[in-house]
Amino acid sequence: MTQAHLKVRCPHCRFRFKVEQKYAGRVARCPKTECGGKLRIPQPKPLEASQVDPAMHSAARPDEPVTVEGRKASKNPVTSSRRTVQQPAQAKPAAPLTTRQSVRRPDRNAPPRNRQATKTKRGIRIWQLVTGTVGILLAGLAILFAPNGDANPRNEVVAGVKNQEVADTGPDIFKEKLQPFVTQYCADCHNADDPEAGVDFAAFPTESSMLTGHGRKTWEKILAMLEIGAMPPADMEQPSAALREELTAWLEDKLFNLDCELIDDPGRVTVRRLNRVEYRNTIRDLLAVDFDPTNDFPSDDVGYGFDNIGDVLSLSPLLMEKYLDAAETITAEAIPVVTSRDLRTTFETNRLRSQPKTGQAGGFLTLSSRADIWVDYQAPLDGEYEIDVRAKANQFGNEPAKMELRVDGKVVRTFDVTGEMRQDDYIHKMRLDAGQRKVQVSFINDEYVAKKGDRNLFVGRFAITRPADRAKVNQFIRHWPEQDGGVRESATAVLTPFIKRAFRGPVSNDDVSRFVDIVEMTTNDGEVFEQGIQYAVQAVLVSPSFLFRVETDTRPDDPMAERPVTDFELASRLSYFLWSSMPDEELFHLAERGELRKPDVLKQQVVRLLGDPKSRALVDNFAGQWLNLAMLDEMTPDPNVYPNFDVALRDDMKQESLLLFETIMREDRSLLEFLDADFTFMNERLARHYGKDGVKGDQFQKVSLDAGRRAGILTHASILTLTSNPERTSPVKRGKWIMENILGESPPPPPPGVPELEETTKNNPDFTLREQLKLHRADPGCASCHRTMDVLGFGFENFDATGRWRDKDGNHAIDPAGELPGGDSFAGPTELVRLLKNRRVDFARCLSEKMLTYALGRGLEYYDRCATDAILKQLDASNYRFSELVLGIVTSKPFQKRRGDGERE
Amino acid sequence: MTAYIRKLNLLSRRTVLKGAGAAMSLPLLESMLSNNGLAAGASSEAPLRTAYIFFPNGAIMPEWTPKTDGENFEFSKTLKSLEPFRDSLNVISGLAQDNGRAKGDGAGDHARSASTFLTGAHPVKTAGADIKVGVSADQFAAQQVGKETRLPSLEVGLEPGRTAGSCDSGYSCAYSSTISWKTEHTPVPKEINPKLVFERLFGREETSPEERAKRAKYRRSILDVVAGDAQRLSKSLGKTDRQKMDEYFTSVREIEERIGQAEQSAKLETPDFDIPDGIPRDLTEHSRLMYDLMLLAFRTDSTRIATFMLADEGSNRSYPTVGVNSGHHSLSHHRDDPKKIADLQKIDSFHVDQFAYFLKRMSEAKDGEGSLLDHSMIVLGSGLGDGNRHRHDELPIVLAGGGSGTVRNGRHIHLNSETPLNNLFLSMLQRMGVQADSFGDSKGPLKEIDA
Repeated sequence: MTQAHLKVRCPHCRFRFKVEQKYAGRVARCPKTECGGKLRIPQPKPLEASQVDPAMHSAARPDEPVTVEGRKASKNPVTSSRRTVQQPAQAKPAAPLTTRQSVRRPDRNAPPRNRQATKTKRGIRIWQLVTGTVGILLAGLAILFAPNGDANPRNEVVAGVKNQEVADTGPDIFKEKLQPFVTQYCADCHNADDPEAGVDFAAFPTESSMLTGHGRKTWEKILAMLEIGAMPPADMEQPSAALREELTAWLEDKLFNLDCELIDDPGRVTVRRLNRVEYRNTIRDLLAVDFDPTNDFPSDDVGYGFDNIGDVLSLSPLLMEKYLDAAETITAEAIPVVTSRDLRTTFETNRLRSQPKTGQAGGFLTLSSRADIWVDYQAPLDGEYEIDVRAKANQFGNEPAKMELRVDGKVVRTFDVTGEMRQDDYIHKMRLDAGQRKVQVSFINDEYVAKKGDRNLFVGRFAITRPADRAKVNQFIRHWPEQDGGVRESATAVLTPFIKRAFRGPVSNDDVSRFVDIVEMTTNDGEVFEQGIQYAVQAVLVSPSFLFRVETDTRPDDPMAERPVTDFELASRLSYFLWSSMPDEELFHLAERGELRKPDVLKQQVVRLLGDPKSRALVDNFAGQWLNLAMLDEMTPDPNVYPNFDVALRDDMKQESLLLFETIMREDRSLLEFLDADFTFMNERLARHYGKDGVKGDQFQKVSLDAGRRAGILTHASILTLTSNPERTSPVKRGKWIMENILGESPPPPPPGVPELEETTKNNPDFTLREQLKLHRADPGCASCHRTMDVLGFGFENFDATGRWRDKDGNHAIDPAGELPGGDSFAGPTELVRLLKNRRVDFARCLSEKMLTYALGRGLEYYDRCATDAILKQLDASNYRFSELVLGIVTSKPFQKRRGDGERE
Repeated sequence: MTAYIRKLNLLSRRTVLKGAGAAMSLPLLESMLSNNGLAAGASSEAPLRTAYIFFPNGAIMPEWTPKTDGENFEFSKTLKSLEPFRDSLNVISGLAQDNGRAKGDGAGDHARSASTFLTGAHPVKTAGADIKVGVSADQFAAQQVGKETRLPSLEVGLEPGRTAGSCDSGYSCAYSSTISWKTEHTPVPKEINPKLVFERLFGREETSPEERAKRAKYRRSILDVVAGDAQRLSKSLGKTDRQKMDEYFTSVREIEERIGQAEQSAKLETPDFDIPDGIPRDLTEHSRLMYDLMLLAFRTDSTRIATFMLADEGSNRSYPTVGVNSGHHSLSHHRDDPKKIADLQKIDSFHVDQFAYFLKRMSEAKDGEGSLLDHSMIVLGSGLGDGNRHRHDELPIVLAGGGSGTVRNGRHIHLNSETPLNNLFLSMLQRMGVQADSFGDSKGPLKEIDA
């Protein structure tokens, strides 16, 4: 039978081979054994869209590991158990979406629907695959996606592999257009000799060099500069608009239209040191000790907007020293070492009280007639006490001096103080109840016969020994050498479960025995067992397996070695994401039994974790950082202009925004309510600031917002203040904040050579801010970003630099109206909020990316777009419910899997 | 001082140094120092100390730069309080940190100016893991000559590093919140809590020599165990993870060394020093306390190298102490508004006045044959000149201290513009005994300061 063949060249190793035409459009592995890289079989030219049956492509079972399996598959023909599963051919079209063409990268901001349409035309679908694939062996060529419905695909497929010249299937834009463009417009300044801004175009001789590793990041920046027209610089030769457009569109496609089946990379998280918050929470959950490191530990390094990024969190000697000190403090509280010396309270004579007043000499009070000596002792607990009173006497008469011991007025013992001025310690043991006890001795048999003799009592220090409170110690130490067969055995029994929890995973006997050594060494030195345990626990608390969240691999430096995270790793990923703390017993238990990754169990756990009060950590740490609320601490509104702003109000502002987030989380509301919630939270102080009546007290309560004035987070005083200057508002900062944190567009820094704002001011001192900025935007280099940024910011001009409503700024009436690029106009802040809400996909993408960054503890890479796209799809289908976002992240490939270090080809 | 002052361990009652700003009394007495084998006064030749004191956002240069050059110059308005130390310092104009300039990297002059200040290297623009600039002058010296003291170097500051957001136009916060770089990738965090600085220098309170010895012994065993753990773990970690473990390992080693040195100097006494428990609210008090601690560190020869960040770069803190209620950074873009310029000048003066206090204390502290100031080289400066325009040249720089007789003082040295600031650092490093012919972008030592 004759088969039409396609000529294919592997983009990785340039190996040339042929493959049967029916596999066009599918993903395969290069047949060359040394390479094995994934590639997509190109479509024959020309090809009508209708020729491609979308159902032909099928995704694999999502829970099947990818790469390693794929390779194995090339040795083992596919077995029937590895069936393929058909995915819905088409994503459910999103609800009507308004896509505003934003400043840059229109395609990236388009809703998934549009992107999918583009892809489908080319016979490639980007939506279907998130996590899995199936391998098929074919004459050395592994086709990773079997045609749907093929019961036994390998019988039907033939692929010949021949080395031969193959003509490229289409114009080579890179060679024919981009390279000449670069030579003409860019390379003068960006070459190997003088790579301005670190860009050397000679470093990108091929298309693939542009798309891999660091090259991709560089080209993303290059694209941004081309799109906004910042490059080539205005005073240099300019390309035609058409050429610029053609090439930016091409680059856009290459860089951002990802083929998720091909890319399919979970990425790699660097070991993450616990940050201060995580350390505190983990100590709390591990040892029930509240240790606040905020003022002790150096502040955590921040990357990608969050302080839990493994790559940037460093560990200096200074911090290591703090960890050692902290471990000492924490263990002293968790495992108090009680020695009898610690239990004994001594009252020297100057602390004893007497009635009548008695004289003191040589450490004794002299009782020459009947007198009472006492001390008020605070007994810390019920139990057996030892009361020890030092005394001596002058003897006279027919009986020894008698000293009566009373507790709370009741006689408990009468001592004979014998011997002539012989000092003795008179000891009585008895049960005392906790509380203040009056411990008293009295001289009861004074005798004096003038010139014959005198019986006197001398009372020295009191010493009271309380019973050891082992209750607290016993919470931690349940095995004692006396009962459990010696130090090593009991230390092992105490430490093994503890170390498991501290290291958040299974530990070997060897791991434990190193810590047991410390206990043994301590007791050999004559210290008590508790002391040894204390040192061992200190060692655990400064060990790398505790301080870092470590996930170990068997092939740690092989970027192709991919694996699902273990159940224990998953438990930690979950708990640190949602609680900023270690897993609890239930998570450990499920991990131990290997049940945590079952989809229904996982979902149930996510719901449970979110419902737990500990999830407030997600509010404080994620939302606080996403919204940049910490920046409020640095804001110093000019007290002459804003006299009502103080620290208390500032904290209320933060609290308001956090409460909105918490409410959406706890009530599982729509994410979009961040943008337009018609309610908020205020206490009396904040309400007064807003000019709202009827809110009393310090407690926050739910309040309806004034329709037409305020809606959602963007009208919160917190955001409005932290995007202002001390003495005035800053529409540019407000606009920039919205672009970065709501729409997910980071305006690049101003291109070099842009005149500063002050230049324009100097020329036109009487202009309003709006007029000044308008002038600023006359420059095309500025305009591309500022026309959005400024319009957004000016829409909120009705709010002053501390977020209060105003109708005038000085003498100028506020004009909050504007028109966004693309034509949508608004009359004021709430209308603008509504327009922003229409960009739900942009907002959801922005929030998903930020939360994924936070959840993973690493910056996102281009391939993570496949994960966020899938999350977006899920969100769109579920009315943007909060829990779906968290679930989407938790079930995403980067959260569920990991791979070896290094850059994939 | 008030209730939040806590008395630290009083092993030696011979000296009293009040930490509270107002009533400063005499520093440590000679007697205390002679008890201490490490003390500077004990050796015949006093060691040379060096400190780099940094302030952000540039200065109002017309009020800073003296009108005349050379000797007998007239002290400018901002530098007025330094006049008593005319013979112990030079005002140096014309220095530049060229690598603070954009060089195609766009905005972010603040981050660049701080990270370049002591390194003379161009920072990589990133908010992520790949932070990179260069080894700073203080750390370079610490690596070569720091072993002679208990602490190789001391890094202090007044403002906590910002903990949210990228700090300046896509630059990692590390760039603007520290000036000390141990390696080109590793910033050294600064300590802003006076109590913790004290503990770093002299250990924690309530430690008797026996307790200290016991702690040292067990800490060492603990560190042994965990260092082993780090090595074992590294075998199943990837390259980036191993770098993190190396960092851990290095920290452990450094502390072990420190324990060793502490044991050798078991006789070291904890100086008597009243110190607040937390961070003083009053900025004057806070900064003077830090200066006192630097003095104490030099005086006891705990270290010979220190850096002090008077605020983070781009800092927007206000200075109500001197009547400035607007943020420093916002003000620094003054657009020639005379009111703002006046406010900025007040902030400049504030920092210079505190520096003058430090020089006074240093000059009063007897050290061998002279004063501590005689045996020091102290730079006060900023990585920006004109903060309004983010200029990285014409930097405000004062060099104080006699450099053990190697520095000719008493002048306003007006250099050709664009003289690398690193030339000055190279000269200082060489005086510290560091083996180096160049440092960062230096073009040679700054001969103009030579005696």
